[in-house]
Amino acid sequence: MRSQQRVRALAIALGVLSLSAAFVSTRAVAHGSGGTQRVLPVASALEAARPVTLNEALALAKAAFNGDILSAQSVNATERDGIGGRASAWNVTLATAQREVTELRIQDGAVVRAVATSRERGAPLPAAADTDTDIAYKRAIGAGLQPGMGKAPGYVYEFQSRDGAAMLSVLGSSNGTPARVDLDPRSGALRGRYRLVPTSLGGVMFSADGGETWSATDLRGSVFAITNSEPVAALIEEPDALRVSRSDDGSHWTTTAVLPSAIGRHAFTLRGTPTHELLLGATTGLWRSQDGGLTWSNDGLFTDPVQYIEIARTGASVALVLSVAAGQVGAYLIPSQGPARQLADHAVRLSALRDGRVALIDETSRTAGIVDAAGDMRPLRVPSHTLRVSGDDSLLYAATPEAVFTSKDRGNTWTVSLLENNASLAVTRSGVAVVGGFRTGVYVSDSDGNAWKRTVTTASTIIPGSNEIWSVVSLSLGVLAIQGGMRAWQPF
Amino acid sequence: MATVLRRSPALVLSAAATVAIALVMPTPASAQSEVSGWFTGYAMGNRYGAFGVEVTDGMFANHTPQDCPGDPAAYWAVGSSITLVSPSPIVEHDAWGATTYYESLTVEDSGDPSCSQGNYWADVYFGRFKLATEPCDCPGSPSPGYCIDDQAGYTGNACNDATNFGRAWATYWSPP
Repeated sequence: MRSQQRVRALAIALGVLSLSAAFVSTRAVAHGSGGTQRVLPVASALEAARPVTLNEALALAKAAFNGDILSAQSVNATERDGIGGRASAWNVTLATAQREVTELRIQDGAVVRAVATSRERGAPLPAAADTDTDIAYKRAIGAGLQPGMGKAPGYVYEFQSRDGAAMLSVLGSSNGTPARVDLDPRSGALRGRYRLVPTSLGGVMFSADGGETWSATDLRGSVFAITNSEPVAALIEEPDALRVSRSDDGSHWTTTAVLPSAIGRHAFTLRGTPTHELLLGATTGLWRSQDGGLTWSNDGLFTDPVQYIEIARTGASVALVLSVAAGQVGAYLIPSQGPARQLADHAVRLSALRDGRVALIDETSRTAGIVDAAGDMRPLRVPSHTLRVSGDDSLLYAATPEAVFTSKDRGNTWTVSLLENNASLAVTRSGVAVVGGFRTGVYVSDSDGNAWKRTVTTASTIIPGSNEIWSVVSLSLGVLAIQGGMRAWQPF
Repeated sequence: MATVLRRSPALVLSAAATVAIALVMPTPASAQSEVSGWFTGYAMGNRYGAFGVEVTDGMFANHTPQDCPGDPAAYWAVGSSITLVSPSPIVEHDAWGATTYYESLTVEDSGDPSCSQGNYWADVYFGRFKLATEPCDCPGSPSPGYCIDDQAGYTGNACNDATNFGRAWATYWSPP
């Protein structure tokens, strides 16, 4: 990031936690008489290594193994992959016996791996596509497809049976969104253009009684973030833009603004400050709005992906804590007055505590700490695999994806409180803990974690969605929870 | 004197269980690294996943770089394969009740855009079979999804398989 030299380092090393992985579950599975993946010997003496087209990959596969072609897919490693219709690696699947398929990896013009699996076979495809990927590449370019589909660089090619017909697809992007072009593999004719976009599923649920009962709000769709203090605002991902909505009562929401394209198509977090400023963490950095979300600006201090933002408040002091996930990776504290300070030289997860401090959690080194608005940080021992912390020193909650723990001695010792898949955690001002489940509903405890009540079993009964409670926040007006949305392929 | 937090060496987890496997194990290439993360299971849902491929047994979903830029696994390209260390193998069924033991899985879908499950998370796909009388519905997947009715008297349910798999702290080899 451009401002790296401006960020002064001042932090305290966090303590290394070392709690036992008591709840790590591994399972041994006995072999029965069913099918097992079998690695097959391959003869890979072929021509000079070079990227190949689909038909060249299919020919290599057919030369190595007899069988009907079931599917093929390029596996891109570099931005050059897919350019001109050639890729350095391909997965090719063949039907090699009754109820058996063989999956081949072709790398740089040679079959380097073959695994036979006993399972259901799909419909066979032609042994070659009349329209090879060098032609498909040109067609896709002509259809406006750009490289980079979000999960691979370059252009990805897929040859498979789609809804009963052979289809050759080219995957890339369109306007920053994963996109694909479907072609008839015989004629090369365009069969469709699709984008992977958020659906109308998902939304925000509201509880006025500390998580005991929940109702649907009128905010629907892929809500990616919600403020955990006033002003109450939410960030929604739509097919063509990011949108900010506001609410005065938690139940009724109105669109404030569509975010400017300069922010980009992906954002992570939204927070409000005591001065009613809105802060947005996006792939393009830290953005601020002083008019409730109508206009946004980036002062250039952080222009790399800001994944987490929390506000530290100690007395009258306020500081912004943020974590940058790529580029100038690190955690930073920005006081309301004075220079920014670097808290960590790597990305961390941030959690707001009830007392105004912010917990920093490094899931890789399994260290954690709590920082106040002055930048004073103390180590925090947390259970292994902790990703979320809430509460305060009198009663701390820590959550791994598998369990929620409590500590009444500032983190020195932890007790399992709730053994359940979870995705989010918040503690209300009255001390009620609310856990948003990962496909398991919502759990509430008004007894310091001694007992839990499942108040929502299936979030989709309130708002249809993924049943993954992406975020729970406690506000003065009530508790809000984001029911996860979904993405789907839609024509464009 | 205060210092910037710097990472300590990564902990090495010991495998809690070993399984005798009577087959040739894939040998990870030197560029691969052994990593650990949570595994969960899902089933049913859309016929074609987030990357256009028909999702079947032996595939998994993980994070994308756009959603979770801090997860190294999010950058693994679609079509990449991982090799399981523990748990291994993972048992899956098809609509005929045939059992397959997977020791490697291929990433062909995405999920958990809020990154709530931590780095190196993988959501293992358990299929789309069910009884004809059962709904094509499974938490974490679009509902109703695309399903296949059980065949030849089999009475299994892919969502039950995913639910029974539950959650596991997994160790595995990354793609090359």
